[in-house]
Amino acid sequence: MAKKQTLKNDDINEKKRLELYNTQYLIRVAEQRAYDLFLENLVKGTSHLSLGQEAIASGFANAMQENDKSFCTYRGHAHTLARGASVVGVLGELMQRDCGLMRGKGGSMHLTDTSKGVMGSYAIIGAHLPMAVGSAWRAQYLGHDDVATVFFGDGTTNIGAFHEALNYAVVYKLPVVFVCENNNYMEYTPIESITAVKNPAADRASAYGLESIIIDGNDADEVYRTAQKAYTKARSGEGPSLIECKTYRQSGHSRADPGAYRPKGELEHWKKNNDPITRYRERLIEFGIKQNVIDDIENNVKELVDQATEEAKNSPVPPEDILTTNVYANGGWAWRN
Amino acid sequence: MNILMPQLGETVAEGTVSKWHKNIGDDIKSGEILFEIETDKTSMEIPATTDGKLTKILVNEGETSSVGSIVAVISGEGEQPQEDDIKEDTTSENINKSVESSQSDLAIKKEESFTSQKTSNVEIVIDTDAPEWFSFLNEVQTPNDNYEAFSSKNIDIKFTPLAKRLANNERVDLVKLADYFKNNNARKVNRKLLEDYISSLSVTKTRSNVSSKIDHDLYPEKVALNRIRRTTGQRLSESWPQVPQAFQAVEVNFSNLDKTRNELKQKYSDRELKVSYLSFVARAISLAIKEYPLVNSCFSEKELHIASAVNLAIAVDLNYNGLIVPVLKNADKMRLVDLNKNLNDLVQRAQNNQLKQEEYFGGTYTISNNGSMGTYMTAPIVNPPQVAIMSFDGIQKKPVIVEDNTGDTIGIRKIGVLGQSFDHRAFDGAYAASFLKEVKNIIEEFNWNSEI
Amino acid sequence: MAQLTYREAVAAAIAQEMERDETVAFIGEDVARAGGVFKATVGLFDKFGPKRVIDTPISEQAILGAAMGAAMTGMRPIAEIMFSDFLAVCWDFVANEMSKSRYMSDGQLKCPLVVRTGNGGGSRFGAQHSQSIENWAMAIPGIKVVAPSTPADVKGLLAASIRDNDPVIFFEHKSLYAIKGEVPEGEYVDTLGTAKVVREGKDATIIALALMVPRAVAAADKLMQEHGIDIEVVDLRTLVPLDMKTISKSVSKTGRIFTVEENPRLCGWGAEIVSIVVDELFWDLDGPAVRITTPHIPLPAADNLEDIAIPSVDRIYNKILDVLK
Repeated sequence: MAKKQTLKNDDINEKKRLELYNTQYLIRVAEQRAYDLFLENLVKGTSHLSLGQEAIASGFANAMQENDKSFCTYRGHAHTLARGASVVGVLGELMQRDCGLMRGKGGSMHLTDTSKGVMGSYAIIGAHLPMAVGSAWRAQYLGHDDVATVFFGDGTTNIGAFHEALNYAVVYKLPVVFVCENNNYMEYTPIESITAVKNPAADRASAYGLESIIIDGNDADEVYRTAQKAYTKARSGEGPSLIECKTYRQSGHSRADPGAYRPKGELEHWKKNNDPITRYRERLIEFGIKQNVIDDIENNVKELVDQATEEAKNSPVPPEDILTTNVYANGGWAWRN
Repeated sequence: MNILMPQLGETVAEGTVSKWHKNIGDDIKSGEILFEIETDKTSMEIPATTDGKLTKILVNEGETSSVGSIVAVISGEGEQPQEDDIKEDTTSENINKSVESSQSDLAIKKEESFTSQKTSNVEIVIDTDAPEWFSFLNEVQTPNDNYEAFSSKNIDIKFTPLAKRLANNERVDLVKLADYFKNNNARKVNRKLLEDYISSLSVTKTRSNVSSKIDHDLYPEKVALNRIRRTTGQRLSESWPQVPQAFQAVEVNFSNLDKTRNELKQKYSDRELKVSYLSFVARAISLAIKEYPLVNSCFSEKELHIASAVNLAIAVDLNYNGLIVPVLKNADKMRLVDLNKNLNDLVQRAQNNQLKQEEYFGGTYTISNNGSMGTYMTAPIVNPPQVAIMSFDGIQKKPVIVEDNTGDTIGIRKIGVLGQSFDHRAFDGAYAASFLKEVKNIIEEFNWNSEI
Repeated sequence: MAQLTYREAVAAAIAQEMERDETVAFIGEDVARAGGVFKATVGLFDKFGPKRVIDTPISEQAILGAAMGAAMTGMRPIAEIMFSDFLAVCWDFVANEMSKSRYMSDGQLKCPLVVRTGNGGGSRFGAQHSQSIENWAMAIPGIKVVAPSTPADVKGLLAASIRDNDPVIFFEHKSLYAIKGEVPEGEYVDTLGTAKVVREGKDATIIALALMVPRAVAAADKLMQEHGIDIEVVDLRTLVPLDMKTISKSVSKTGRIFTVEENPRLCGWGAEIVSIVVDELFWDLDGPAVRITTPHIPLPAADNLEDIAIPSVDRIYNKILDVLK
C-alpha cells in the first residue's frame, strides 16, 4: 500500500477525486445494468463486462486530456463510458438499437466514439496494440501533443502483436501507454499456468528496455498517479510506458461464463476485501468528503443510467437501409460499375 | 416482472432449471439468486434484477425451456400478477415486438437527447459509379430475356446462347436451320454458322436485287412487304434451290361423298354440322399415307426419316397479307367429324392470331386449299423438311363420261383437281402417282358413312 | 513523356504524392536506406529523410497496425509488405481490421492507407516468395485491390491509391520491375476501377492482369499472324472496384471470354468474372468461358518447372487456338 496521503499533502484534489469516484460508480451501475438487460434478453450476442475493474478505466481516463486517444479490447464498455461516451449510446449499442454509438452495426465488442477519442474496441487479441502505436506515430510525426493509451488483458501479453508493438514503440520512442489489466485469468485459464513469467506484462518490460511497473489496479488514486506519470513521460518525447495493473474480474469472461474455474471463495474474497468502489468510497470519507455528497453522486448515476435504459429501450431497431452503408469512404459499398 | 430464460452461451437455444433457491411467495431483493440453470455448455446462478414477491414459477427444477421463455414472475409491491402477459414459450422475437409496440405509447425523446451525442456518420451518398440497378441482393443483373422458348424440343443440334438469341431476332426457323447444318455435319451452331446461313439467304435476295435494277419511273408505287411475307420469301428462297420438285395432278370426282355430306347435314341439322370438302380431303390423305408412308417423311442425305404421326399443315391466307401454315398434330388419329371440327378451329384461330406455340412447328405434310379462290389447278412449293404438299383446287360441276352396264353416257359430276408437288430426291413419280391415285380412290369410293 | 522502368514508376508516384501532401509517409522493411529489396523506392530516403521514409523491424503486424493507427488519426501512410506471401503473416489487419473498421463504427473510423507489396512468380524464389494472391484480397469486402501491368499504370494508379480514402492493397509484380514504358511527365493520377483495352479485336476477349497482360498480347499477336484470329485483350488493372462496363462491352462484342490468371486455379479472380459474365451476358456467349491459370499447386523453384506452371505465351496461344478451332 502507498504512503497514506492526508488532506494536507494531497496531490489529487477533491474535484478530481469526485470525478474518479463518479466514473467508477457510473461504470459499475452501467455494467450491472448491462448484465440485467442481458438476463432480460434485451442485450444480445455476447458481452464482456468490467465489473471489478472500474478503477483502471477511471484512473486513466481522468488523467487523459481531451484529445488523447484510447484503444481497448472487447471488454471495452468501461473505457468507452470513462471517456464520456453517452450511456444511451453504449446501452443502445448493446441492445442493437438505432440510438447505439454505431447504430447497431458494431455491437458490444466494437464500441467506438471518435468524438471522445475512443478509437474503437477490438475483438482480435492484440490487433489494437500496433494501431495505438500508429496513432502515436502520427502524433509524433505531425507534432501533435496527444498520447495513445491502449488497454489489454493479461492474455494479450502472449500474442505476437503485443511484442511487435512494444518493440516498435520503444525503437521510435512513441507517445503510447500500454496498460495491462491483469485480472489473473486469460479467458478461462489462470494466466500463470500459460505464461512463462509471473507478471505477464511487467516481467517482459525489460525485454523491450522498459521499466517494470506493477500497480494495485483497484486503487483509483494509484492508477491515476501512475497514468499521469506515463502521460508526462510520453508528452515530453521520452517514449512509451508499460503498466501492469493487478485487478480482479468479478463477472465471468463473457456472458456465457459463470466462472466455475475460480477456486472456491476467491470471488467472494475479492468482492469483500478488494472491491475498487468500496475502497474508494472509504477513501473519500477518509479525505473528508461528506456522505451526502457521495450519495448525490450515486443517486445521479443511478438516475442517469435508469433514464438511459428507458431511452435505449424505446429506441427503434436500426433501419434496414444502413445494412450496406459505410463500407467505403463514399458511404456506399459498390464493388463494380 | 417476467423473469426470462437468459441466453447463456452464444449458440445455446434452451436451458434447464437445475435448482430453485426461492419459493413462491418469498420476498425477493434485487441481486439475490433466484435459480440455477444448466445449458449444454455450462451452468450458472441467475440473480433477480428487481425487488418484489415471487408469485409464479413456470419452469420447475429439472424442466427445460427455450431461451427467452418466461421462467417465473416477480410482482412489485401491490402489483397483481400479470396474468395476461404470461404466454407459454415466449420467444425473444416476441419480446422485441412488444418493445417496439410499446414505443407508440411512450413519448420518444430520441431527437432531443441525441443531437450532441449522435455519431458523426459519413453522409450517405449514392455510389455514383455503381450501376443504377445495383442494390442489396442485386449485385449481378441476370438478363430477363429467355431465348430457350424459341427453340424446338425436337432439334438435336446444339446452339450457343448467342446463336439462339440471333436466330430469335432474325426469326430464323430453327428446325430448318438445324437440318441445313446437320447436312453439313456440324454438331453445333454458333454465330459464324448462323451468320453464314442468314447471309446465304440474303445472297439469294441480293442476287435477284442486283440483277434487276428497278426503274422507278416505271414502278413509282411501293408496297412494303410485311414480316410474314419477308420471312416466307426467305424460306422459299432457301428451299427452292435445294429441293428438286416435280408436280403431278389427278381429277377427282366428289359426287360420291356429297351424299355423305348431305346426310350429315340432315342428321345433325340441329347442330348445323357442315363437313367441308377440305376435311374429306384431309381425311383421305391421312388414310392414304398409311399405304404410302414415304410421303409423310423428312429427307436427309442418306435416308428418309418417316414420321410417326400425320401432322397436317394447312396453308392459311391472311387477307393477302401473308401466308401462315398452322399445324394440326396427330390428324391421323382423328376421324372425319373431329378432323373437320379441329381443322375449322385451327384455321379460324390462325386467321385471328390465336395460335398456340406448338402449332407453328412440326408439320409433316401440307395441304394448300386454293379451291376457295376458284382455281383449276395449282403447283404448290414443297415446304422442307417435308417432302410433299397437296393443293386442293376448286370443285365444279362438269360433264363426265359415266360408264355403266348400259354403255357410256354423259353425266354431270362435281370434279376437282388434286395436285401434289414432291421432293424428287425422296421418291419417284411412280410412287407419288400411286399415292395420288390412292387419295382419289378414297375420296371417290370410301364408305364415308362409316366415319360418322 | 518519360521512359521509366516499372520500379522507377513506383518511386516516382510515392515522391509525387509525398511532395504534394505532408501527411503521406512511407514505412517498410529495408525501404529507406537500401531503397527496397526490389529497388522500387530508391531515392525517397535521400529526398524526404528519415522522418518520412522509415525502415521498420521485421514486424509485419506492427507495420500494418501502425499504418492503420496513423491512417485512423490523420495521416495517409504507405506500408510496404516486401513479398505478398508475407501478407499472410499480418492478414488479420487486411481481413479483420482495415476492411471492417469503417463499417463496424458506422463511418466514424477511416482508413486511407496503401499497402504496397511484391506479388507474383517468375523469379525462381520458390513457393513462399512467388505467389499471386490478388484473389485473396479480392475476396475481402471493404478494401480495394490494384495490380498494374505497365510503368504508366504504376505511376497513375499508385498515385490514385494514395489519394483514395479507402484501404488499397497495391500489388506490384516482381517480374515486371525491370520493364520500361512511357510515363506521362508531371503530376499524373489515374482512376481506380478502370480497365483498359490494350489490344482491340473481334473474335474473342482475353481478360488479364499484371504479368499475364503482355503474355496475352503476345499470344494474341501470334494468333493473328498465324491463323488470322483477332483477339481483344483487356487489362483489368483493378480487381476491386471491378470495371464490368469494359468487360461487358468487350465480351458482348466478341461473344467469347478467356481469362489468363497467374493465381492458382481454385477461386482465382477469373472465376468471379466468368461467373458474372455467364450470368449477365449469357445470351452474348458464343461458346464456353475458359480460364487459363496456374495449376492448383505450390510453385516450384526450378526454372523450367516454374515456366511450365505459370501461363506462358505458348500455353495461352495453344489453349485459345484449341478452343476456338
